[in-house]
Amino acid sequence: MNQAIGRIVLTAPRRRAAGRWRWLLILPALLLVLLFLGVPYLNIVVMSFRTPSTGAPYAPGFTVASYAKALSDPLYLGILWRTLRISVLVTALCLLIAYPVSYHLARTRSRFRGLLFACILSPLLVGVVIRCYGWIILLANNGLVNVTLRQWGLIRRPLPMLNNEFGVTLGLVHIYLPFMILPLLGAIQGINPSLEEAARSLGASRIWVMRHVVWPLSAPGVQSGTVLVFVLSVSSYVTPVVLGGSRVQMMAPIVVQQLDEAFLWPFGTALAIVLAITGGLSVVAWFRITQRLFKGAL
Amino acid sequence: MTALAIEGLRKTFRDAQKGRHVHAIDTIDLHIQSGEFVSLLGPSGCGKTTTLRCIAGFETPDDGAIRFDGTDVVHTPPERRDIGLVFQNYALFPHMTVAENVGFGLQMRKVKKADARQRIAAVLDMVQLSDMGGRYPRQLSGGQQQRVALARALVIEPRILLLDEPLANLDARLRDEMRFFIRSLQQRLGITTIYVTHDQAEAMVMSDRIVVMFGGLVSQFDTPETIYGRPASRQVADFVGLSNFIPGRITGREGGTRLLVETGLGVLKCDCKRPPVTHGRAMIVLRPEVISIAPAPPDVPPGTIDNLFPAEVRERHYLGHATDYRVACRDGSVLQVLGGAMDEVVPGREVWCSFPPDRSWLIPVLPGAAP
Repeated sequence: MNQAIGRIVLTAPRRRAAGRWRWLLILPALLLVLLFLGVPYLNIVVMSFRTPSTGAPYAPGFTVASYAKALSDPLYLGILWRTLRISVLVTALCLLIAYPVSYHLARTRSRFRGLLFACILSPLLVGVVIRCYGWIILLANNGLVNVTLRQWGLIRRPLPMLNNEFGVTLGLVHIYLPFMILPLLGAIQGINPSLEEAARSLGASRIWVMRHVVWPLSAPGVQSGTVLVFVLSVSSYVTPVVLGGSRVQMMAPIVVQQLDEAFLWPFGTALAIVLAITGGLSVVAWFRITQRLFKGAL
Repeated sequence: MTALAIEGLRKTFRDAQKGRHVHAIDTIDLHIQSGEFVSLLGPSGCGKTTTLRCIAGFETPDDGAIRFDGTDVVHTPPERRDIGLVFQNYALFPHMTVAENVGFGLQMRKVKKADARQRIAAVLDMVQLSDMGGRYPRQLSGGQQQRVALARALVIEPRILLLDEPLANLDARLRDEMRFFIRSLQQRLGITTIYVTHDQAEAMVMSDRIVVMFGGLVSQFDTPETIYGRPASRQVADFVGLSNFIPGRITGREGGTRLLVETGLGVLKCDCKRPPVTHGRAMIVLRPEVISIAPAPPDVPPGTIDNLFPAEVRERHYLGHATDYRVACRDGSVLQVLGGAMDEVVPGREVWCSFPPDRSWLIPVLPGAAP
């Protein structure tokens, strides 16, 4: 008894001391983020207000001219709009395709479950560039799909599937699908199957169970999956460049173009900031919407 | 109300690891009357849950029929069987309030809103949760959640109520309370009920009849009294309550039903109606409370008391409501005896044991077992 009290007295202050120094554990991560993300970001923000120059990255003095141009030039507004539009479409398509896959994978007791899982993850092992070039082989005018369709006599002229929004959307959906499947899979696995059985026993059809039990309870997965895919699509670079060419311009390639080719650092960074802010606001808005959509489940 | 008949039900599962088929249910026949409370009792893996899931419609049997009032429902999907199902983990919808949970089945049946509200209130009142309708399941205790699950199953006025170990996650005290609560509710509503459990005490207290299952087969289907007093086999006797088994050989008959059994304790008399064995090798089943012990031989002429034999006390455990003695007989066998606390009956002491012939039971010796 006395010993026990002694032990409590002895351990209590030590525990408090541990609490005081606990934040040290996140220090490495914190430094990494601050140094390699925070500081450069700050640099970008500062750069976007610089005065442009032709001989050097920027001239002395500050201006909001870059933002004025980014937000008034119909060319750039159009590209921003297209970027958001394609990203929303890609997110919706990913959700549509991923949901049944995730549900099946979460519920199956098949021997091939592991294999299926590997199939879903395996594309991640191949670089984005290589996968996009793979699509070129399939989608080009003299690519596999067009040649086959022509040989079967189904089409006369090749279907345009490259250097247009179709190609970019297809490529993005393919590349980002695992990022939708994985969070959905996690969320659906977390739903006890007996909930579905309970609903069935109470008279709900399979479809009704999906709509009113599984879907709302998978809300956290839907939310994180959609945000992940949307953010990745908005900032995608390789796919629009390779599959969209010069005709389907999206924000990330344009930003790089301004920095790299046009050497307009202030304007390029301003575009990047505009993209980041619109993307961020879209995510916030989406959180609001889902919160309302899945009332009670989130 | 609905009578339930299960005829020749069989179900095999593929064991993914071993790659062979395992009989979960190996031919079961049960006829359950309308309004009856029947428990499926057995160890895990005996097929009781699979049977329940077949009745509910979540498993399709390989063979056999499941009849609700004579109509085979094997090919009816679960949502059209009109069953109430209560799970061990309650399976309440976490994103719905208590009232929404209870109202789910009514919504499926397209019951009018005002009507539904009334029925929800009535059933919540019945399970004593009238003021909990607006809460979410996570805000309730385990016992309350279980009662919501019960209310949700009952509000649709199902033809058959199926309960899958509904009390397994509750603490002992609450479990005790819920047993009587569920039983009285069932009797009040007169609803045909199938109750799956591995807890023999639960099955005893609640059921009209008990199905004892082992290895996908029905070992015995009878009233609790019969299962306890006249078990069909050693497995049943072992699973339901505590038992002593005295091996022997039936050597003769005395009067109408009294059988003489030659055992290591001498010739014992067993008076039982239609035991499963009447000649040859047999086991006497003695429940611990049937044997009485006395510190001294009774003061009557020898032969007056049936089945009297000496033994030595080995252990003595005070249980509160009774005392648990272990006594060693002359032939070395150890018997368990439940009796009153007697100060003079202590380990090492010689005592006299006896049991009334009509409270013993005879079962066959398992083939291959030692005599």
